[in-house]
Amino acid sequence: MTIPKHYHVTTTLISNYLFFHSAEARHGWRYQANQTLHGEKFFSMNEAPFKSKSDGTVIITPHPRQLPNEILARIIHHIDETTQPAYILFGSRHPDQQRDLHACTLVNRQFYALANPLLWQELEFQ
Amino acid sequence: MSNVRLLSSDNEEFVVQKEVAERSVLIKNMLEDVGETDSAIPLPNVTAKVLKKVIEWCDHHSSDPVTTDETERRTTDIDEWDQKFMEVDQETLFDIILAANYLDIKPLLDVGCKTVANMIKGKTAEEIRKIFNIVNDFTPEEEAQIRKENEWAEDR
Repeated sequence: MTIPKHYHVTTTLISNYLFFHSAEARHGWRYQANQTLHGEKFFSMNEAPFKSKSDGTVIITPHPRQLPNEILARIIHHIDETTQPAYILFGSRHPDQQRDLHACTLVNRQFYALANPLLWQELEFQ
Repeated sequence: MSNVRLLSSDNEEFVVQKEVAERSVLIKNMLEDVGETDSAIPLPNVTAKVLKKVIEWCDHHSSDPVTTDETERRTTDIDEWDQKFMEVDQETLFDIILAANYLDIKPLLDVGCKTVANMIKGKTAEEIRKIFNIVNDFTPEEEAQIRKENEWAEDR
């Protein structure tokens, strides 16, 4: 059976699309990987990670390259953990942790959304 | 002791002891549902490279007591072996974290997340972006607003 070139390109594009929107891509914090394929434009949704150039080259840019919220939330919770009894006792935050959380709020929107509530949280109990 | 066959996304097969594979709650539940089976368990989200690392971890920790206490597990420091295990490039580190999440291996997920947390500690926002190649998607106005609101928490 011969597979038409057209078909081949389509499946490659789709598998790349699925790949970039699956586990691999979700963590997003990686090097900027542009993948170039020869083919035609198959996806025309607004935020499609494909751009086709005039010579027919399709540039696939995985985006938005993010670590899933549930995992980033875990990471930020680890930043906010204290093992020092004195601070647990007084229900306050170690200055280093406060500084680290503060830095996290300024990284990008995803970090802000997860770190900012934590930064403010304990103040309510003080 | 019975063995379990695992199939990575790139079609590499791994034969592991059942108790090692069962560090993964996902695989444990699968095995309970399916019962004795000769066919390999497909893991479409995990490549051979990452699966090999995950199996190495599960093997080393196969006789660990299962800690169900979330707080205890989360506040324990990373032991030396795990620290060495996590000395990998950033891409692999994230792949391990994602695999641990998918396979539901909570202690490995915690070790991975703690490792990333340690990389963040003591850094400025700009340094964090640089380490992980994160794009600053704030508008200048938004960033200024956040700086103002959180000024009290700034290191001085």
